[in-house]
Formats: sequence, structure tokens, C-alpha cells
Amino acid sequence: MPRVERPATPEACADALRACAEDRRSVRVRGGGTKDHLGTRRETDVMLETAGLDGIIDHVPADLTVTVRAGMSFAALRDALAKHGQFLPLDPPHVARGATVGGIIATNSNGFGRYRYGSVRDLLLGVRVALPDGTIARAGGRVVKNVAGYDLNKLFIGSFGTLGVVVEATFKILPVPPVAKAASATFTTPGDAFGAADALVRTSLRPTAIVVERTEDRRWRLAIAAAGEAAPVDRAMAELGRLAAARGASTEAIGDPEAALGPLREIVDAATGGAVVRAALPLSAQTAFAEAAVRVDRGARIVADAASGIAHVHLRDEAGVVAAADGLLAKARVLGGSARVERTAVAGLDPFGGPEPAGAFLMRRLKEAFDPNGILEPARSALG
Amino acid sequence: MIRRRGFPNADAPLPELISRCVHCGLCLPTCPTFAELGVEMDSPRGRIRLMKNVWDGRLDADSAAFADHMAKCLDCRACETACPSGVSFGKLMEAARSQVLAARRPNLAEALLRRAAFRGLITSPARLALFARFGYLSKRLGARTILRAIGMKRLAELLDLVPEKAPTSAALPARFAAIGTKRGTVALFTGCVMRAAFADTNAATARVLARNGIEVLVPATQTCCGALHAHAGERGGARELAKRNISGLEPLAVDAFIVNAAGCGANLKEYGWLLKDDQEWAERGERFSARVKDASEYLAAVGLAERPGPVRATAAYDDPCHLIHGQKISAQPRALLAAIPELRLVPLAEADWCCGSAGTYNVTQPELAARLGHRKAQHIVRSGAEMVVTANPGCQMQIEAALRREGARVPVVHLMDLLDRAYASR
Amino acid sequence: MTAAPPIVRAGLRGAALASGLRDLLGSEKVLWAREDLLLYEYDGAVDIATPDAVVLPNETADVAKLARFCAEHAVPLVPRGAGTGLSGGAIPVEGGVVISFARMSRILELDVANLRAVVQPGLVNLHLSTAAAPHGLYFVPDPSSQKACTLGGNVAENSGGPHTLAYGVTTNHVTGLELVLSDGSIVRLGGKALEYDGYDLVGTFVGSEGTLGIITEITVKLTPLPEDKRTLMAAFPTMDDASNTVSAIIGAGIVPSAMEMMDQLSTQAVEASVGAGYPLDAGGILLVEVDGVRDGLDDLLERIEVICRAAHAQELRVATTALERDKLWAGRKGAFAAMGRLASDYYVQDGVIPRTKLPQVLRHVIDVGERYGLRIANVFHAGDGNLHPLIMFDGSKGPAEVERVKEAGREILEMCIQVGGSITGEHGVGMEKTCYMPLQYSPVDMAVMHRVKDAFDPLGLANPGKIFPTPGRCKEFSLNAAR
Repeated sequence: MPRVERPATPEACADALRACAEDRRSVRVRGGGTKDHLGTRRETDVMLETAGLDGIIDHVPADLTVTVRAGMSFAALRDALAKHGQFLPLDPPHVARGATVGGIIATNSNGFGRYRYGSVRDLLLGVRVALPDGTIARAGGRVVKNVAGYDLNKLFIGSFGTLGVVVEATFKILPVPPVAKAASATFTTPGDAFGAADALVRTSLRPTAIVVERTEDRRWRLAIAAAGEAAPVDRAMAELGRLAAARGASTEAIGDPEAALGPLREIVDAATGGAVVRAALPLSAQTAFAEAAVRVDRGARIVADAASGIAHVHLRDEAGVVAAADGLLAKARVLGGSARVERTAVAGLDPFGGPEPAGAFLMRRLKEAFDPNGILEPARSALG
Repeated sequence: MIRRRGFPNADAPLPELISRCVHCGLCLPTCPTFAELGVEMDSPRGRIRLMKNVWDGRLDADSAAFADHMAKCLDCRACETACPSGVSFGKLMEAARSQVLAARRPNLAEALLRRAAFRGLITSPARLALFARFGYLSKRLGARTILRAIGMKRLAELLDLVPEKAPTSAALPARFAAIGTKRGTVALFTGCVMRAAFADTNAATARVLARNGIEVLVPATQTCCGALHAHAGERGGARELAKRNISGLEPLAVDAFIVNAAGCGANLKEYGWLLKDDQEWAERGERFSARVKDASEYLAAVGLAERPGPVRATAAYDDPCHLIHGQKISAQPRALLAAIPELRLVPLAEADWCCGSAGTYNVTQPELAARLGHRKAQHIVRSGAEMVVTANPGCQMQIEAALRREGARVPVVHLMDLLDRAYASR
Repeated sequence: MTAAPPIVRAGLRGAALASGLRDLLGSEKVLWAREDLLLYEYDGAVDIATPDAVVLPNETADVAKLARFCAEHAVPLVPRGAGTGLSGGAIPVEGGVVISFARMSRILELDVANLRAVVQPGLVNLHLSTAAAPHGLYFVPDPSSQKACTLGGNVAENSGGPHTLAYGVTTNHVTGLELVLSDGSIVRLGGKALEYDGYDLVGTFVGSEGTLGIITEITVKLTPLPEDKRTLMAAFPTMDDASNTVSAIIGAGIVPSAMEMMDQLSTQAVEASVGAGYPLDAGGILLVEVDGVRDGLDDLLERIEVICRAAHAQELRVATTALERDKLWAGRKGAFAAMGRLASDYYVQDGVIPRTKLPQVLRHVIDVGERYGLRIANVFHAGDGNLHPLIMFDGSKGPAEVERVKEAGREILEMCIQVGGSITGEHGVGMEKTCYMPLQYSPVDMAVMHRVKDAFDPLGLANPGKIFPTPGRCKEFSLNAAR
């Protein structure tokens, strides 16, 4: 069992990292513990928990920015902002299970709203990061625009804790829109569903979710949500109706948008068996990718953020899952995108399988510069 | 090497005009030579910097580099339109060119050619008309091929510009009476190139004006406007001609001096500036310039008294630089075209770009002029227009030649000729 | 740990460098005559330095060849787009080769199906939107210089613009890059999808001001053109009223696509320049634009008008035609250069502050202007809190005057930092604000940035003398002022 460290301050966190680096003890960083499925599981000497780094540091509602400690749970932040009629426009998965701000940054965890509101990389204004040399560095700032020096926020977002531990973060936030509605339409082919989704993306309606789901009865359901003033929201719903009718489908209104979108967002948590492949694709490649997924596993469940080209495929046929997953990873690359196995219970499946990422030699130099002893999150990322 | 600081004489580009440039670079993408050559020296900002470098003693006014980059400028003044700081680039360029002339002793052949062109040919309508006719004839006779064969490429290029139709030079009557209710009286400035190669256009202009209740006088007391002299840096010659025109025209009791050649118009409107250092003439120049109007500018302002007849065609309008950039006139010609029933006006990409004509540019920079002509012709072909309308003889000749080289059968007509034809079709 | 990098100076210089480059690339791609080099010593800002040579590549391979040669001979590489930058980013402060991308200005692919474009770095920003318009698409970031500035420069500086308030700055619209590193290696990062494995090197690179490598190809997002827009000009008796309106609009839950402010001095210069129709008697004016689907747009506009009136707006004018809208924007976009009408030189600051501090900081700017006896105009992105005080001066008064102007600028930036802001929101640090970096970042912060620099550019030849303060140039104050 790894030793658990739970620093109460950023400084204590940096000290703990330095101690580990000096002793060459490997470290896994843990916020809410909701993403243990990512990467290759390998026991580390130390489990560094960020739960002690909790709470809002600064929130000026009129400036629409908030600064928090990274161990704060997303749910707690959401509730605190809601009291001011504001929200952090991210809708990542695992929130109900306790996902933290730091974990969301470290894994670049986004939801369906990224098309409308942007992803972590678009909303994060600044971070403080504890580094293995015991220092704490600040990147970015607390204002909405800042180009002074390098944009190191981007380096830490999605770095899986391999470069340092995010201890503090500042985000852009927004007022809660007055109206939110959702509706869905079900099609018989993926081409129709993604086609309708694409038509919506090319308007200036800017829905808050455009999701294509392959249902249990193997049909293709397009669910959209819109938020804002009433008139444009109603127009978005009407537009879905028009697009569906043109493809011979009918629409149904969804009472509570969150009740419909929530289960789609949690496809990874729901996938206890088989494997979940997650792909980031050029928009027009999604239909081909979905068809390929069905070819490798006829029972595949698919949830795609069709506005952003992020597709999750749950391969449920455990017998052929290794070959199916490898095939899909390769397919995503052929289509000009990238993919990884997000979660699997199957041994012997390389989560990143395939050639190393472009610019890997630069990434190694960066890893070497930030974590020369290689203590942070071994085997967690595509760099191994 | 000891550098001579600054410029040789008083016509130098003024430091206070240069310092208006804050080198923001907004002019760069509007400059045809920068687009073609891609170097700062052949951009408006770069040329201004070259002038500044001369003042600062970092570059000689008589250096080959300075002369070359000043010569490569089209003086199309697209940069002026783009410039938020209000730099008077045309004034700077004309001044800079006068310095090149003053600082450099041209070789004998060049000097003789310039002398022949500026003293002998351009200022004498009769001789120019003769040249135009010779041009037309020699073209017919295949002189171009002969000239090319004996290595006189530049003259051959020049001949390329001669229009397809035989030039007429029938003298205009001294007066065109207003038709219908008389709404004004103007004097028509006939120009030298216009008179020589495009006399029909002058008559058409007068007829269109008369048709709209404007009495048109064609005074004999006018001469070449001096635009080509000014653009080439021949300040002295330009001033002489300006004074002759002012003396000859200012006594006339007319509402406006009407010009149908954009190059002439822009120059006539700058007599005040040209003569600014001459106590006796400065104010007279200003007053004269204020009365000068492009034909389209004047017509659009007074409004058409009578609707033209229909012209069934698809047309594109190409802005002459000295109209759109030199005189800020671009809406008026389009409004007049829109008034012609059944004429379909299609957009033309880079309509506000120089076609490469630019005064004597064809002669001094034949290769660049041809490249720009080619670029213009391609846009015209792509626009799908059946005819190109413009409002300046130089542009007309250059675009015709470029289209011909492209093998495109798209006629180029002057706005006034088209209006005249439209009225005739009623 | 020190953040101060060694000063890199060109190894090979002069005629030897020029002839080496001519042999390498052919003379049509190299400028070496002194009178030519003097025309590559400036950009849109105030600092100058003459390059040892200028190279005009036609393709990536030219750049890679050049970089290998320069690595071998210790020659700095300074990329240049249109030279419209406002922080001296393209100025070869340590000498070396300026790489002009004027001849690499093509759109390589307009991928309408994937809402992406692949372009060369010398492409003019506006030309991309013009080419995309027939497909109902555009490129969002619209720096005021968008008619001239290039995509390569936009990526290097992470440029903003009036319409980035709602839709993000350059970094939010770049998904792929091809780079030539200072050792001559060619690296392709990202692509047309939103994410790729490993670190987000594309995001890390954007805004690195040429100090990590040379951009040779860019993949950007294209965005559907808004179905409709409403543009409102609101004139207020004072800048305080205009500032309060900005906060009130945001506070009402409205995020306009643009919200720009101008003071009286600016409107006067602009009126003389483009005649945008701004009232000359107003203390401050706001340009507010909302866009999206047509539905509900008029209601939104009406809500904004109500807010403006409540904040003492003396005149409200809504553009009713595209022509009127363009005119209102032409005034704003030409505002910097229009200052050429008021003074021969200007020094523009780019500090960012929290929106709520606008009145306080604007008063400080006025105070600085009075104390230094300098005229300062304000034209800025009010919605972002991104100030642009334009300090006017006469450069012919000599270096002492320039120093004085920079001092005034520093006082303004210090205030921006004091209220929790940044020294630059979109123009970049360049060579102009290197000494102010310690106002915003600690030595530790900068040392971490330097780790990134060393990973990309271990030779230190990529645009040296930019971003990081160097002891030789920055006086004692700046290095000690580190927080």
C-alpha cells in the first residue's frame, strides 16, 4: 500500500514533492479518486491527496472570475457559484462522485458544453503548480486576457500530473442563462444523426450540447440542449425539428436537460466491463468512426459530442475487445484524430497503443526538465 | 564614404508629411508592388522609410536603390485610402521622384527620351494624336513584331497598349447646349491622351451632360494637366502647365470644370499643393482645384434628369486608382451604372487595385506592369462580366491590352461612353 | 535559481553571413544590402535594430535549411510577418537573420467540412476570413490590424481583438502547427481534431513570440458567421459613466461579442481620420456589438440601451446597415494609427485589469499623463479590461524623451499589476516589456518558463532578447521588484 500524504497547504504539497524527489519515491496524485481508470495502473510509493487544499480563495462576481484551491470538489464550487447566479461553464463527468478542480485540469476533463463555452484550456486563466523541486510556480493570471510570458496553463492541462501538482486555479465564469431546454430526435443511420448535428454546428445557434448516442436498440439518437435567452433557445429547438423532419425523424422535448444528458456524460463510469475507447476526431470523420465502431463490435454503445468530435465507444463484447480496441485506435489515427483506451477491465490492453505522439522528443525534454527523477505519475500518460 | 545629408532641393518630401507615418503597416496589403515583390522596400511604409533615411543621412538621394524603389511605385495611392494616419503618400512620392531627377544625372538616351516624351509628345495633342494613329497603323502593319525582333521591347510593349479601335480626333464643338430644362453650365477638360486617342469619349461625356440639362463649354484655352509630369517628378513642367490651365480656365463663369480622366482629375485637384510655395499662384491654384469635378462625381451630385435606356449586359466596374484613391470617388460611378436599366453589375475582386497602367509605368516598369495587368485580367475573366467599365484612358488601354494577352474577348468601356450608349438606346 | 538567460549575440555576421546565405538559398531569397536591411529594423512599435540579413523563404524546407545553417554559425533567427507588432517582437535586437514570411502567404487548405483552414504563416488575417466567407465561415480573432497582420504573427503573439470578448483569442482557435526548431528540425503538432496525445504543445507554443521556434504552417478553426448583428454606439459625458456601463452590462448577464471604449482624445483623432460619426463632445464612447441568431437580438439590444441610458448616455446610435456598422468599426480599428494626426510618435500600453477596476485605473492614467505632461489617449477592449493607453510624444526630441515616455508607461503597468492584472493582454512582451516581466512573475515563475524555452530552443537562437528580462538591459529596479 502506498503511503498517503495529504498536504494542507500548497507549500506543504511542494515540500512533500521535494522529499519524494530526493528519495526517488514515485507519486500518484489523487483528488476525488474518480479517474483511477486512466492510464496504466501501477502501484506508487506515495499517494498524494489534494483533499486538504480546499475552498474558494477569491470570487469577484462582477469580474466573472473565481480562484480556488485545486482540491475543491467541482460540485462544491458549482453550488457556491450558483448562490451568485453564476457558473463555471464546464460539465465534466464524475462530478457526482467527487471530481475535483485539480483533477479536471490535470486530465483535461470536459463535457458537452465545450462547443458553446470552451474547454478547460479555454476557461482556465491561471494556475499555481507545486513542482518536484519544491518550488511553486504561477502561470497565467487572474484576468481574462494575459499574454505575458509563456502560456504554461496549457502545458499543465491534460498533463496527468506528470509535470507537477496543480494547487490553485483561476477560471473565467459566466452568469447562469435564464432559460435552458433540450430535445432529441432518433435516426436509423449514423449518417443522418451526425448530418443533422453538423447542420446545427454550422448555424450561429451555439447549442450547449449536441450529442449523438447509439441506443440499446441500435438506433442513433441526437440530443441537443440550448441555454440563453428564450427566443434563441426556442429557435434551436425548432431548428432540430426541421432537421429531423427533413430526415424522416420526429423530435421529442426533454423535460430536464440534465436528466437526459447526465447518463450520456457518465458512459465511462457505467462501463464496468469491456473497454471504453475515447477518440478526438475531425468533425467530418465522426460518421466513419461510428460505423467502424459498429463493425468491430455490433453491440457497441457510442456517445459522441458531435459538435466537438469527441466520441466514446463502449466495446462490450469482451471476447474480441483487445482486437476491437486496437482497431478503433488505429482507425481514429487514420481519420486524422487521436484516441486512447479510457477504461478497461481487460488485461493486456495498452491504453495508448500505437506510435508515440508527434513531438514526443520535446515532451520528454519537458518531463526531464520538470521532473528529472521521474517520480510523478509513472505510466499514466502517452509518454509512458 | 561621406554621405550628403538630405535632399537636393526644395521640392523634397516634407519631414512633417513623413512623420505622420507611424509605421503601423496597414498599407502593406493594399500595395500591388508589395503583393508582387514581397519586400518592404517596395511597400508604401518602406518607401516612406527610404525617404526618411535620406533625411537622416543614412541613404543618398542619388543612390540607385532610392531611384529604383521610387520608380517601382505605381503612385496608385491605394495606401492613402488604407492609411488611418492620413499620410499624403501621393505628395510624398511625387516629391521624392523630383529629387531623384534632381540628384541623378540620367544618361543621355534616357534624358532625350524623357525630353521627347514630356516636352514634345504629351503636351501636344496634335503630336500625340499622330503618335496614336501611328501606333494604330503600325500595329496593323505588324510593327510590333519588327520592333521586338530588333530588341526594342519597350516600344513594342507600348504599342501593345494602343486600343483596337481606330482613334478618332474629330474636333469637338465649342459648346453643347443643354437639352430640356437647363440646370447648370460646365467646362469640359478634354485632356491630352483623351483628346488624342479617346475623342469619342469626350463627345460622349458632353452629350451625357447635355442630356441631363447641363450646358457644356469646350474651351480652347486649356492644355495638358501635367499629371504625367508630376508623377514622374517633373515638377517644373507640371507647374508651367498648371499655370497655363489656371489662367485659361479660371475666368470662365461655369459651375465646374468637368474631367473624365481620373488621372487628370486627381492632378487638377492638387494644383493648390503643386503651387503651394508660389505666393502669386498658391491661392489661385486652391480655388481652381476646388472647382474641378470628375464627370461621375458631378452627375451623381446633380442627379440624372433623365433615365438612361436599357443596356442588356453583365458588367464589372474597375476603379481607376486616381478616382477611388486619388479623389475618393467610388460610390458615384457605381450609382450611375445602377441607374442603367437591365445592366447587371457583378463584383470584381481587387476592383480597387491598380491595373499596372499608372501613368508611364508601362514604359518604365514593363515587367511589373504586365504582371499586374495579368492579375487584373484574371479577376475580370473570373467575374463573368461581359464588359468592364472604367473611367480613365490609361486604365482602359492597359486593361484592354491585358485582356487581349489573356485571349479574353471582354470589351473595356469608359463609363461616359456606356451612359452615352444607354441614352442613345432610348 | 536565476531567471536571467545569457545574452545571445550573432556569431557569423556581415558579408560572410550574407554570402553563406546566398550560397545556401540563392540570392533571390536573401537581402543583404545595407539600404535594404534598414527597412527591416522597425515594426509597428518604437524600438529598432538592424538585422544582419533578411531571408524570404518560399517553403518550409527553406526555413529548415536556414535554421540548420544558423545553428551551425550561432546566428539568431527572428521571424517577421507584416511587421505590425506593437512590442518589438520582430526586431532583431541581437542581430541575426530576420525571416520575412511575405512569400509564404497562401491558404493551403480550406477544409469546410471540418471547419478548419491550413495556412502559411504569412497569410494576412483578413484574407482568411474573406476566403472563408462564401462558405458562411470566418476566422474569429480580429486584431485591429487585421487588414495587414499575418496569422504567423497572430499565433506568435496570441493576438486578440475586439471580438474576442465572447469568442476567445488566437489560442482558442489554433489546433495544429508545423514548426521549424532552431536546430533545423521540423515538427508537426496537433492537427484538425481538438486533442492529441501527450502535452498540449500547440497551446504552449501559441503566444511564445518566436522564442521557441519558427511557425511554418498553422491549422485554425473556422467559425460560422453570425446570422445577424446589432452594433450600438453609446456616448457618455464621462469615462466613469462609460466604465460603469461596461460592468452593468456584464452584471446583467449579457456577454456582448464586443465592447470597446474610447475617450475624447481618441474620438477626435478618429473623426479627423475616418469620420466614423462619433460625437466629438462626449467624454467617452462605447461600441457594443451583440450577434448570433436573429431571434431575440433586438430585445437584447434594447436591454443594453436601457442600461446605457441609466448610466447617463447622452446619445445612442444603432447601425442599421452593414455600411454604418463598418463605419463605426473602421473608427475603432484605425484608432491607433489615427494618432499619427495628433503626434509624430506614440507608445501604446497593453495592460489588463479586472473590469471592476476600470474607473480607478483610468483615473490613474489621467494622473500619470498630467504629471509627465504627456497627452494620453485611451482606446481599448473594455469588456476584457484590456487597456490601451496611447502615450503621445515627439521622438525627434531624442532618447531622453523616449525614456520619459517609457517611465510613464511603466507607472501605468505597475498600477495594472497592483490591481491584480497583467502587463500585456494581446501585444506581447517582445523586447519592449522584458524589464516589466518581474512586476508580474517571480524568478521561480520565469525559471519555469525558461525550462520550456530550453526544451524547445537549447541553443538560444530563437528570437533572443524577447520576453525574458536580461540584466544588461533592465535596470536594477525590475529584477528586484520581483514579487
